[in-house]
Amino acid sequence: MKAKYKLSSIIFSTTTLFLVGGIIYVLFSQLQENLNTQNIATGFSFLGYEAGFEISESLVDYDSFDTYEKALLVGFLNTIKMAVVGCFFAFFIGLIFGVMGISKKHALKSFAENYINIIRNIPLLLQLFFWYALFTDIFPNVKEAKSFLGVLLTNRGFYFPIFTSTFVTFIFIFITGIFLVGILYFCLIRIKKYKIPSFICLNLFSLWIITLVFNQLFTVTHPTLQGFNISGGESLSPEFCSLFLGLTIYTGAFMAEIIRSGILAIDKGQWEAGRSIGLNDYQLLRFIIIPQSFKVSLPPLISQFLNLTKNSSLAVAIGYPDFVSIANTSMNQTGQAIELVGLIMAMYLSLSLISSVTLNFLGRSSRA
Amino acid sequence: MKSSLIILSIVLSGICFSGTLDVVKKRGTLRCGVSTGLAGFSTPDSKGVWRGLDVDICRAIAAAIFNDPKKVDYVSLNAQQRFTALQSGEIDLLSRNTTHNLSRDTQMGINFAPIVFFDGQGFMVRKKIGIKSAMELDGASVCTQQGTTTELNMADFFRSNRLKLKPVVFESNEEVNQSFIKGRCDALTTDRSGLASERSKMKNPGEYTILPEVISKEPLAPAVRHGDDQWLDVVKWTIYALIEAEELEIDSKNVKSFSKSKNPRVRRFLGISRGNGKALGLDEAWAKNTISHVGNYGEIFERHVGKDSPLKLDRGLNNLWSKGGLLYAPPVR
Repeated sequence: MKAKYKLSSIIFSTTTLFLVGGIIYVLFSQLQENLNTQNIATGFSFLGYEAGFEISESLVDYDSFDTYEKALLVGFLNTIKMAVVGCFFAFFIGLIFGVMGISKKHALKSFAENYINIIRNIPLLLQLFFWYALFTDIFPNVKEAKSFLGVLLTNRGFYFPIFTSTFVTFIFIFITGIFLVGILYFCLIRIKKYKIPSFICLNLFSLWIITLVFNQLFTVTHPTLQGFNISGGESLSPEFCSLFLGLTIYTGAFMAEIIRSGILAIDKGQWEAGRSIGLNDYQLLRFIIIPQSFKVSLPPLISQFLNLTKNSSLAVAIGYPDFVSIANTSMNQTGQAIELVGLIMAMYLSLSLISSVTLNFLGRSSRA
Repeated sequence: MKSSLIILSIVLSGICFSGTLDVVKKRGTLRCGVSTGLAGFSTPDSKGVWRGLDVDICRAIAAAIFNDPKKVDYVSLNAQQRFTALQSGEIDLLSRNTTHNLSRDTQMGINFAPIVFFDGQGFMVRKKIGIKSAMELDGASVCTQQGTTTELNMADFFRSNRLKLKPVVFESNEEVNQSFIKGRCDALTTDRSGLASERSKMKNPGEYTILPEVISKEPLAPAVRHGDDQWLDVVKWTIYALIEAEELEIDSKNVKSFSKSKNPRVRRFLGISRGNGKALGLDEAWAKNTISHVGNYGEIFERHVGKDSPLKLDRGLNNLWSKGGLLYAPPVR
């Protein structure tokens, strides 16, 4: 009986293998033939050609003389940037709202519940359009931009002043910094004798000194209006900001629900045991409940991280130059849709596999 | 995602792509790829009927084949989907304000029919910002649509004039225009006819101005699949017929009065002297049907983009060669 079962299973597997292999072969040769008869260019040689288009934001130096390869790299880095920043903040939002969801205070609990229910049930693309429209509608034109603590808020993005310094001033600041921290530490040891208000006063005082020194030694580049746009300082584009907000708020809601369910999965006995040794609610969560709950919630959390990364491809709708957006443009200039769609798929697949392997490894090692 | 589906259909389609004319005749309708909505060229009216210059090219070809301009299925495509849709056989004809250039003609497996609209890329800005020339656009944010030649021309123009450019690129045309109107960009760039078309749709068109520079040649032409010469001939000569009719001063209203004409050129054109129709694989009255249903090129132009339309464009280059334009049809004989 057992041998027969084995034989049939072998026959079944081999036929499946041949069938799938055969189908793939037929499809691929058909594709080659169709492309040849239609005179459509194939291959990856286009990657070395000059791209000829500009990209609005880039982590590396890029201009339209560079190759498609470089343009795609710019897109890839923009995707990674969004994924890393987005995952970090989405997790934070998830943690806060997840814990709020189990709060005994009715207001906090219902606030978290409403947030989760509303955000989870609106399609992400709509939310992105909403944030983008909000950015371009409520913030003023660059010409009427108002400065808020040195930050310029406009519908072309947020502009921050940056410090520029030479190496010598950097060394000087470093030494002064160590000195100040030393004083602060000394005061902190003595401070236990005093009350809290004097502690705050001391902190404010040292903060004031630090700012004074900063202003003396560093040249601050303030963003200013020059011609059509604001130059100087650092900026965040409205495309980045709205994609960031949309993704973190959306994914955060899913993460909150996962973290909340992780916490609820912990046995009631753990809470009771924690309380019996005199831990307060914060300590109980921080040291007993949340670490254990991650055992349950880590796998679904990982899939949310992956979702966020993949959802960032919706960027194309609001003009953020991510990998898909750049690949789409290249696809149109070169006409090589199959190669570029292949590249997009390979990019997301490897990104997802790498991050899931890493996170799983982290999860396993933290458990051991 | 649509593009991946289309790719799948390229893979799966075992159809040999010659014989489009027979396929169209058998199906009974022409499948025509048009834009997602560009006033004057292809846009649905309040009743959902497609109208525009590009749409009339589809109607003209349907009239030449079926003697009925209504036998067209319109497939609305964005700039990115258009070539894959044609390559995969989803549409028979792409009539969607598409620029004819070398790389598209060679690498993409498509062939272009005669140019139906001579255009050039320009910039539109708010009058308020007070600039008179595109050379003053240094450092400006410019909105444009993804997957168009405008993206490349704009980069070339800024690069050759050593100006700084901040492109803002969107997938959909609506998002491009909305962002420009809201002030995300200083300038909007596309073909000048497209700019006029967008301006005509805006709430207060008077607040915007199109800068005088024409930074590129944009010959807009319909396209068919590479390797089907008979189908290309049908499309090509239907378009020539529209031009020839204007030259012969035959239009949709007076076409019937020419049936007794003694002019050999007119007799050949209208199929009274036989032969042309058979050569194309069409009815002998193909040109007559086209003109009586759709009108000649001049009528089409005036109806959709001319002085009486919201776009208010001059004939300019899009006039007959005999009147200072570039439209020239080879002899229909």
